[in-house]
This record gives sequence, structure tokens and C-alpha cells, in this order.
Amino acid sequence: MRSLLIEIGCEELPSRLVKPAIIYLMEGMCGVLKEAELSFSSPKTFATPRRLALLFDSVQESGPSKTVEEKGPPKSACFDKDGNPTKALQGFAAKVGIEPKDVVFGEIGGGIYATAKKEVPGKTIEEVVSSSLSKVVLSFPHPHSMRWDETGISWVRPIRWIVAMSDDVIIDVSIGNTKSSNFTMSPRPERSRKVEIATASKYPEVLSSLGVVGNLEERSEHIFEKAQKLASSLGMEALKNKNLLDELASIVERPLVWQGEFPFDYLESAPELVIKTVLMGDLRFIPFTKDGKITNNFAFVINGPAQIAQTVLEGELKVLLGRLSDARFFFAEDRKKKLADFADKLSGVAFLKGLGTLHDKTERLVALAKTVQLGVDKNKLEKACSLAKADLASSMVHEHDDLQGRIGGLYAQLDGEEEEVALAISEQYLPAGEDDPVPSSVLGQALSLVDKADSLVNIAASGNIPKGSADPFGVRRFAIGIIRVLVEGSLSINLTDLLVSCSKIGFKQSDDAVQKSVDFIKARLENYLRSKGYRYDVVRAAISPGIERLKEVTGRADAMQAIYESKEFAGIVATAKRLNNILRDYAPTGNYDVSLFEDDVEREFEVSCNNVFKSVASSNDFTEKLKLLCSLTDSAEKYFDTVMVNAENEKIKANRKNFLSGLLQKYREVSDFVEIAI
Amino acid sequence: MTIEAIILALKGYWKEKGCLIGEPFDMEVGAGTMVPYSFFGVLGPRPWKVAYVQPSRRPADGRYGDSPYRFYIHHQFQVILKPPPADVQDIYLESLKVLGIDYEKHDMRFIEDNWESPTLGAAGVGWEVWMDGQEVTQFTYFQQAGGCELNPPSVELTYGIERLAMYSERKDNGFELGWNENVTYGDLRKRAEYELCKYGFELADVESLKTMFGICEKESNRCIEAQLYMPAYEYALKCSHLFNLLDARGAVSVSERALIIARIRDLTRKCAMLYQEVGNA
Repeated sequence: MRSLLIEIGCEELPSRLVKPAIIYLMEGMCGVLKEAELSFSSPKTFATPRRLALLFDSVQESGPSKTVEEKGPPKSACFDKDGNPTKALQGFAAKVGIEPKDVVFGEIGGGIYATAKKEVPGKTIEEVVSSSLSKVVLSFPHPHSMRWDETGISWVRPIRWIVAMSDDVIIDVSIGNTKSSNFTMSPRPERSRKVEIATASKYPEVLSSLGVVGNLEERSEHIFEKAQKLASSLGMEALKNKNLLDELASIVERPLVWQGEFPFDYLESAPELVIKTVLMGDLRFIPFTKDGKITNNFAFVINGPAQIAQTVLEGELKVLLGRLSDARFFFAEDRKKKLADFADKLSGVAFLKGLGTLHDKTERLVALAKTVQLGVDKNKLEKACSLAKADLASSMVHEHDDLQGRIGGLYAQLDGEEEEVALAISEQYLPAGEDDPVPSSVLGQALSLVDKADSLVNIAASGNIPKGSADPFGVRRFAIGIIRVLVEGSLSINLTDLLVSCSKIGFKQSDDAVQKSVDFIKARLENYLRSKGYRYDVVRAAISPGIERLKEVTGRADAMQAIYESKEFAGIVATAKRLNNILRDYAPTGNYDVSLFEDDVEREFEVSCNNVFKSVASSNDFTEKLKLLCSLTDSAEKYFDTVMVNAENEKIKANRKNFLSGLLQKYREVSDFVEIAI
Repeated sequence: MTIEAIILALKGYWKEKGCLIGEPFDMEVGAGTMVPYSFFGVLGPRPWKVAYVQPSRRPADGRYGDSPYRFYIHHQFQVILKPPPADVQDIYLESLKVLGIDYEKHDMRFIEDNWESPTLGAAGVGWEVWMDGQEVTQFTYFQQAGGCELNPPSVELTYGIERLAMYSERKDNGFELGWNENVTYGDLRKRAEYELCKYGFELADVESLKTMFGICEKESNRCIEAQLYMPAYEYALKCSHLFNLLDARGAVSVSERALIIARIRDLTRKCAMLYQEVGNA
């Protein structure tokens, strides 16, 4: 067994790509070793903006050798008329390293050929890494690929050095103009210098001696621990924000956590929301809090040695004070007016390309608040809608666009609007990401919903529903937002009705905007439910009856998933499938006529079906509905066993099929059991 | 260091690194990238190293000389290195030393910033270089110009002279900077800033500017037909500046904006093609 080290050195990677890049490299190289049948211990990973490295403590030196059969010339070409070996046979024998007389003949694909068994030695670590590292690295998928020299190869950022070693042996690898060696590079800010790695297993020590904390997760934890320590020495808490810590860990490799403070009066000159955004968003500082409130103390992270900390702090403070002064100025400017005054400026602000202005959008939201039944206080919703987009014309959101909504909510509150309205405005963009909650209030959910539905329908009407992966309008986010608000929130509304209302007053009119929106939401809904752990067939069966009411879709899915393994459920599915099979290619010709039934079994079955489905229709509980359907399974079986559906008399046959079509339709309205894969 | 000293020091450093030291281009441009040394220089395979100062005007950024750090005209020191040397980051960091900045004593970060100029059909991938949280340089691997893929790519460095001088002289107000030992930046520039902003934001006649835009576009196209890429490009630059003026004046609607940009891009793209055809690329 040998140790194996791979380090890709590059110019600074974008912070958001450090993590995906190391995962890709690790999975890629493990895949390569596995394919070569080299056993290996799971690697340690090191990922910084300038290096992606894997260290395997032990990898098998070479893979198992294999016997392969080499195919030579056809037998007819192997001997001359005197029975002596021809040049062709001699050549083949020489190639495989045996005497011509030892060549064996065998049938291959119908012909007889000279063959020889050949021992192929397994590939060594060196061969495997040497032949595949470049391919693995360069195949990393990422946006904004770049070229940096005349070789034309492209990657995220220029690759400047490569370390590839098995124990103390350098493995030959080239990527573009860069060749492997046993030298890594020192971290910034000191002048770059080469640092020798004596043997692969020494790599972690080399990094430590350079002050580099190589592992990404470790670095993130290290940063928070140090910040927390500094905070607690002041009797405070370091604010823990995972996104910020991950980003910090991805932009430094030799983290030094230091502490600073800004003049106290800045703290009072702007709302906490704004100060936090400046500290965390602009400066990437870790704010300290006391009793849950933000203070004028913070920690920041330097990529360098302690000697430079004071200089760096001076520079950073200057930037911070500049930003805080700006924020104070913007806040004061904004507060000279009421939030409602900003709403007047929206006629000059474009909504989405080709879809009018935010003033138009606001008018539509207000109209929807008046007309659509959402089960919330209409006056409050109307107020929230009329103010929702106003903050987009404020200086504060112009400077910090990630504060949209929250600034509106804050200003509404300061203007003395009702708390509920302010909160709804504040939460209107939720859920923006996967980890975001839906708005906490029903009013907020209603605002979030009509806003997203209006956007989706208008984008659909302008023909901009994405087909591939590109999604410049962010339509997927709107659709997922709609789904999550309706499934996870407490509104109970008819989605199709809402989309129709949106379409009626849309900026652009299009006949298929509603249908396109529904289809798009449906596709996202499938993914959403799958990600929640529902079986794929349950998802389809639950979606098929319609998505007007999303809570019903999840109700159906829950009920089915709960009894999926049971024999009762199997019975329902079997009945539905039997109906579906017998009705294949049959188009109902009308209603059925009980007087044409010939048999008591079918008369009784018809009565039971009517009774059961009457109860099904009056129940709102899907588990209950399934239970009811279950009670039909036996009589259905009896029906099929005794009644000849495909009767000779065409009139009787059609009558039976019309009856069964209606029945299948009723099953399908509960859930499309035909989709179930059991 | 004064503005003058910074410019001389950077010229000296890059001269030593083998760059041709160019003089500023004599037309209105929004950025050094638009100067022919850069725009045409990066096209084609021929090696090219150049460094020059370019006063760059962005009417919408002007603040009547009232803002301490936003200017109608600011000064860029631009470097083009084609092909980029493998240690280009180190060479860049060393250049800060001639400005009295010992990069080894600061937190130097390369923060992702991909750059795009729709009017030039140009795009690059790179960073903003931050020193202790302050942006000091734009560092870009130029990938495309005039709609053409660049082969090899070039590195483009853009130092903001005012920003560097403010750091170097520890001044918070750009107008207090020394241009040299006797004359301040404000002496030279403050009144001009005010007047240019007054004109750009308030006085500029929208109809006349639009007419001029049409005339320049037409002349540019006539030159393209005559296979004269340089005058064609100069008229395209005039279009670009007129567009910036109209924009600052608030006379360009959202939908109009995209159309005008596309018209300018069409000109610069044709100029780039023509240069590669008839120029000595």
C-alpha cells in the first residue's frame, strides 16, 4: 500500500465553487481508482481558494492482473501450403511472446482464429493517476469557464501548479502547460515561494507549517470558534450564520480571526437590519450580539499572519465606516418620505423585461387582493399589496437589493401601518431559497402567493417559461414558492382560479398562459414531492386528479404512502387497473341503463358502487376514502368473475362499458391508481 | 504619493516588465478597455504588452464635484499582457511596491468579478483585487472582444488612480489629493466636474444628442463599408459616449436601452472583424 497525494494549485477560485470543486475532484478520483480495481482508504480533503487536495493514506500499488485472449490471424492465413507457419502467424506469436507451435486455435465469431492467452498486469497507481487526473479536473462543470494561455484549455481559474505523489515518488501529470512536481506554494500575502513536500503523507504537516487550515469544514468551524471566544471575552455572543461562515472559509486559507469595533453612535443611526447587512453582506464581518441585540463589536477574518492584523483592521474599518455613513445617509433620505410616496415612483421602474413597470404590477396585485377569495382580511391585503413594491424605489434597496421586502416592512412599521401589514410586506419574498421558511403570517402567505402567481402567469404569457436549464426570469423559484406557500402554509385556495384571475388582468394576454403555468407548477410539484420522500408512483397518482388544491394532493399522497405495502391498497390498485385494461381504447358512448343489466351480481355491484362513492364524495379525509374504496374490492372481483363485460350483444356490451367507464372515472378522481407500480 | 508620482511609478514598473508605454487616447471613452491599444491589441495571436493612463468619463457617475470619491472623469492606469505570463498575479502584486504598498503586510484578496461590456461585445473572467477590504485593481483574463473569442487571452489590469492616491495620501476626499506637490486634484478638476455634470444632467439637449448619435452611427457604417476600421471605431466610440450622456440625462427608457446597446455592439463587432481582416493582426 502507498499513500497518494494530489494537489491542484490555482489562482483564486470563486468562493461559491470551492466546495463543489473539491467534492467533484474527490468523487472523480475515487471513481477512477475503483475502476482500476485499486483498493483505497477514504481520502482526506483540503479545499481553499488556491488549492484542492486529496490525501489517501493507503492505496493499493497496482490492480490485479488479468488474463485476456488475444485474437490473431484467421487459421487459413496461418500456414502455407506445406503446413509451415506463415509470416502472419510468426508475427502474431512474436507479438504475444510464444512459439508459433504453441499458438492455439479457437472459434471467434464463427471463424477459426489463432489465439493466445495473455497476462495483462494491473495498472499501477502512477499509471492510473497519470492518465486520468487531467480528465477528472478539466471535466468539472461550472459557469464562466475561462482560458488563460495559448493551449486553449479552460477551467474555473488558471491552474498554476500540480502536486501528484505516491509516497515520495512524483507522478507525471500535465494539465495544459502545468506539470506535476513535489512542490506546493506558500499562501498569501507573502511573496510566493515553493515549498517542498518530502513524501505524500507529510502534506498536512506542510500545510500546518504554512498556517493553512486545509479542510473546508474545519476552517469554517475554526473561524466560528475563534470568533465566539473573542465575543465571550467581552461577555457577548458571536452571531452564527452558516452562509457567512461558509463564504469566509471559502475566501481564506490561513484564517486569523481578529476583533474590532466601530463608534457606538453608528449603531443608533440606522436600523439593526441595515447595520447587519453592511457588516455581514458588504464586509463579511461576524457581528457580536448582547442580549440578542447587535453591538458595535465584531470579529473579522484575515488571510495572513498576526503581524498584519492592525494594518488590515485600519483599512477594513475605513471601508466599514464609509459604508455605515452611506447607510445612515440613505436611511435618513428615505425617511424624509413615507413608504407610500415611493410607490408613486414605481411607474418609472421596469418589472421584468417586456412586462411593464412595477406600478403596473402593483395595480394588478391590488386588483387581485380585491377579487380573489384568499380567506384573509381584504382591506389589509389590499394595503399590503399597494405598498409591497414601494421599497424597490428607495435608496436603501437600491444600495442593498437583498433587503427588498424587509426594508418595506420596516418603513411601513415606522410609518405606523398595522403590524400585520408590515410583517406581510417584510416576508413577501419568502421562501426565496430551499432553507427559507414560508411567510409566518397568513397575510404574508397571501401576499407572497399573489405576487408569485402574477409573475408566473405574466412570464408564461410572454412565452418565457424556461425549457432548458437557463432560467433568466427565475421562474422556477416562483413556482416552487407557490407550491411551498400552499403546501406548508395555511391558506386554502383554488390554485387554478387564482391563475385564471391573474391571467384576466395580465400585462400580456395569452390563451395558454394559465395552462402553461399549471403544467410548469405540476412538473415542479413532482420534484418537490419526490424530494419530500414520496414514492414516484404515489406522486403521479396523487397529482393526476388535478392540482387545484395542493393540500389535497399531499393528502392523497400521504394516505397512499401510509398503506402502500398493504393488501387492501393492492386490491384497490388491482381493481383500477382491471377497469383500465378492460376499457382500453374504449370511448364511452353515453350513460348506462340499469334496465339493460342482465345479472343480479351486476345490479348489486352498481348499487354498492353508488353507495360507496356517495360516501367518498362526502368525506374530506383521504385515508377514509381509501378505506371506502377498499370495501369495493371483493364485489368488484365477484363482478369480473361472473359478468362477461364483452358480451356478444353489442348493446349490452356498450352499456356495461359505459358503466365501468364511469366507475373508473370515479376511482381516478380519488387518485390515479393505475399509475401505481405494484 | 501624488497622482503624478503614482502614474510615473507605474509607467516605470511596467516599462521594466517590457510594456510599451502608451499615451492617453484623444477621445471620450468610458473605460481604458475602449482604447484601441486594448480593444484591437487583444485581438489576434500577436504578442502585445502595453501600459497607459486613460482619463475615462462616465457621465452618470458624476456628482457635481460634491462627492469625495465619485467623478464624472476618473483616471485609469491600464495594462494589457498578451499572452499572460504564468506568474502574472505575482508580477501584479510586485507592482504595488512601487506605490509604497508592501503587499506582504496587507490582506490581499482576489474576489470573483466577471466583467462584461455589452457595447464592446467584450467579456472577461477575473477578480476585484481587495487590499484590506478596499478594491484597488480590476484583474481580468479577457476572453472575448468585438464578439470574437480571444486566442490567446490577455490579462487586463485596471488600477483606479484616484483610489490608489487616496489610500497612499490617506485622504478621504479625492479633491484634496495632490496632483503634484503644488497643485491639488481639486484645483485641476473641481470646476470641470461641476460644469460637466451641470451639462450632462441638466443642460444636454436630448434631441441634438439623439441626432448626433444617428449621424455618428451612419458615419461609422460608411467607414466600415470603405474598410476603414479606425475611423469606423472612433465613430462607434462617439456613439457610446453620446449614449452615456443620454443615459445620465435620464432620456433612455428600459426598452430603448437594450436597442441602443445592440446598435453600438453591432458597430464594434464589425470593427473587430475588419481589423482582423485588413489590420496587421
